Amino acid sequence: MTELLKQLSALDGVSGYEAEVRDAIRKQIAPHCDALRTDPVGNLIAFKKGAQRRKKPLVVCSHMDEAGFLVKSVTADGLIKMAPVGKIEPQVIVGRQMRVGPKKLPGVISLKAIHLTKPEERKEPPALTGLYVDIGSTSKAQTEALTGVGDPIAFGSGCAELGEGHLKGKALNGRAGCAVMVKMLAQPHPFDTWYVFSAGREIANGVKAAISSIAPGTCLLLDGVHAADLPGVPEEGRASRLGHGPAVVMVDGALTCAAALRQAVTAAADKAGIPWQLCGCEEPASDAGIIRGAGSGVEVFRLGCPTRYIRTAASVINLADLAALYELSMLFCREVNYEN
Amino acid sequence: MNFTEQVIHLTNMHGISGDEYAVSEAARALLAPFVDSAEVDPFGNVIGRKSCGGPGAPTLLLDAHLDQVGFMVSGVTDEGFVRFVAISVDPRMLPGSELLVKTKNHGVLPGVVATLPPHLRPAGKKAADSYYDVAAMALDMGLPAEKAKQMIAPGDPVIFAGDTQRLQGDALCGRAMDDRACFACLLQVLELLDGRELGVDLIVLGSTREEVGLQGARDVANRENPDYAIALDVTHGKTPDSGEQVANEVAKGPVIAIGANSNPALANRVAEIARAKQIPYQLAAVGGSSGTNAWAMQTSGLGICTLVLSLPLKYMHSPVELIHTGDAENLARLVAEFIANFEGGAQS
Repeated sequence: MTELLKQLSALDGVSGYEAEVRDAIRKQIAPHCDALRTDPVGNLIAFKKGAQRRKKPLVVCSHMDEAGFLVKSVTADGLIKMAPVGKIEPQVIVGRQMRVGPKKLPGVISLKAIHLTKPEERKEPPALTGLYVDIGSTSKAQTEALTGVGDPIAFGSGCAELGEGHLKGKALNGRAGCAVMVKMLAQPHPFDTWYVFSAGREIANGVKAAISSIAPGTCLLLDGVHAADLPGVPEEGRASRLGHGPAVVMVDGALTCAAALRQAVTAAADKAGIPWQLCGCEEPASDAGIIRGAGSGVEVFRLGCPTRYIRTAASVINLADLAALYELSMLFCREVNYEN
Repeated sequence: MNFTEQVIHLTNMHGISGDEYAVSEAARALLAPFVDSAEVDPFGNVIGRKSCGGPGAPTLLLDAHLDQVGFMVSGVTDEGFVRFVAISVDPRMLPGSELLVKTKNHGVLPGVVATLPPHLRPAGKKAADSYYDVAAMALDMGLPAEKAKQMIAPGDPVIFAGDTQRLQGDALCGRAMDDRACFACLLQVLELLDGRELGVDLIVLGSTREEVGLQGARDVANRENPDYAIALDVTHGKTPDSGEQVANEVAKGPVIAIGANSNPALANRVAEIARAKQIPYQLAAVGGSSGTNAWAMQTSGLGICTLVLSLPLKYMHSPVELIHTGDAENLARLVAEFIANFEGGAQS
C-alpha cells in the first residue's frame, strides 16, 4: 500500500484533470471489480459484489484530485500567471518546483530576491496575483509553443518515506484514501459495496453526481484529517495527532456525525484492537456535507489519516495510521451494518 | 563534464558557509587539470596557480565563492522537531519547503518545514506573524523525539532539498547557483585559455564563507597580495516585481560592474573587448560596495585593483536560483579574452 501511495501521490490530478490518477487506479482495480465506470464528471465508480446484499448500498469514497492551479495567461516575458484550483495558500508555493501542463514542464515560483525588498514586503504573504511560474522561457512565443491557457499546474514534489514510518508527498489527503480503497477492493467482501474515487473535491463539486447515481444509505468517506501536533500548538488546537490511529471526524463544516454510528464503529474498532482517535477540532467542510445532501438521506462517516500540511508540496502522514485506516475501513464494510 | 554538468555536479553538493570542504575537494579536482598546482587551504579555500612563465609578470586573482546560503540546526524539541537558524536565506521561501539536514553520523536526513492550516491558526494571528519568523519554525523529521535527539545535533548544516533542474532553453535552476555557477565559469575560462600565451600569472580561487562576510577571499587576497583581482559573482536579474532597482536581465549577456569597487578603467577595457569580440554584455553602475568579494579584496594585502564581472540570476538566495547558461558561457569567453589580451595599468 505504501508503494502504491507513493506512485499515486507523484501523479498529477488537479481538479478537472484527474485522468492520470484515474487511469492508474483503474488499472489497479479492474481485475477486482464486478463493475467499473467513469461518470460524466470524472468520478471512477467501482462495484464489488459481496456474499450478501444490503438494504441500502454502502459507498466507500475518497478523492483523486488535488488542489493546484491553471495557466491563466502568459506574460510578454514568457512567465505563467496562475488561476487557483482549490485553496492553496500563496505563501506555501513560493520557492517551490512545479509541473506545468501535459508535457509536465518543470517550472518554479519565487519572488524578487530578499536583498531588493523593503521590511514591510518581508512581512506580508504574497498575493497569488503577483506570483507566476517561470519555466525558463524568455518570451511569450517560447512559452506558448509549450503550454497554454487552461493547462493544469501541480506541485513538482515527489513522494518518499520520511524519518521512521512516515511518508511525505503532495495530494496525500485524498490519495491515501484511494490507496486504501485499492487494497480493499482486492479482498473478498461479505456485502455488496460501491467504491467511488471522486473528482472535484478540492473545488467542492464532483462527488454529488456519483452518490446520486448510487443512492446509498451509508457512505464511509476517507479524507485526510488535519493534524496540527506541532511545537507551540496547544493540545486543544491540534485537531489530530500522527501515530494515534485514523481520526474520526465529529464536525465537518455543517455536518455532524451520527452518534449511534460513531459508537458502533468505535466499539467494533476497540474490540478488534484497531487504534482510532477523535478529531478534536472542527474540520473545514469536505465532501461529507455534499454526500449527506446528495440523495434522499445518506449517513456519512468521515474517517481519515491524520495529515500534516494538507495542500502543500509535502504533506506528512504516519504509515501505521494508514495501515490502521485500512483495517478499520475493512471492519466497517464487514461488520458495521448500520441501517438508517 | 561540460559546463552544465559541472554546474549540476557542484550545485547538488552540500556546502553552507563554514562547511564547504566537500565542495572544495570537488572544485579542486575539477580545477587541477588546468593549473600548475591546486590546493585546499585550512579554511576550505581552493587555490590554483597557473604561471605564464614571463619574469615579473603581474598576478591576477580570479575569484568565485563556493559556499551557499542555508541553515544550521539550533536544537531538537522534546517532540523531535528541529529548530534552526537561517544563514542569509530568504525566510519567505520556508513555509511548506523541504530541507536536508547533514548529520555527523547518520547521513543526510530529509525534513519538512511545518505549517499550520488556516483554520487552526491562532485567532488574530496573521499568516505572516507565524510564517516568516525563523526562530518559531520547526522542521518535521518524521522521527521519534529520542531518535531525532540522538541523530541530529546543534550546528548540523541544513540546505534546501531539490536538485538542480534544466528548464526551457538554456535555463538552469537550483540552489547554490550563487556562486558555484561562477566557479564553473572559471573552469571554462581556463579551458578557453589552454595553450594560449599569457602575460599574466593567474591565481584561481574558489573561496569560502562569502555569505558570512566575504571571509575566505579576504584571507587569500591578504596572503597572496595579487596585483589585480576579479570577483565573478551573480547579480540580480530583472523580474516583474523587481521594479526600478534592477537594470540587468538574464539571457542578455554577462554584466560588467563599473564604479569605485570595480575599477572603471578595467571595466571599460572589458566592455571594449566584448564589443571587439562580439560578446553580448550589460553594464551595471555600482556606486559603493558591489556586495561581492571584490569589496573585501580591494583593501586586502597592500591594496588590490579589483573588477566585478557578474552572471545575471533570478531569485537570489532562494532554492530556485535561475541562470541561463548562455550568459555563463559568454561570461567565460569575456574573462578569457580579457586575460589573453591583458594590459594591466589600471591605476592611472
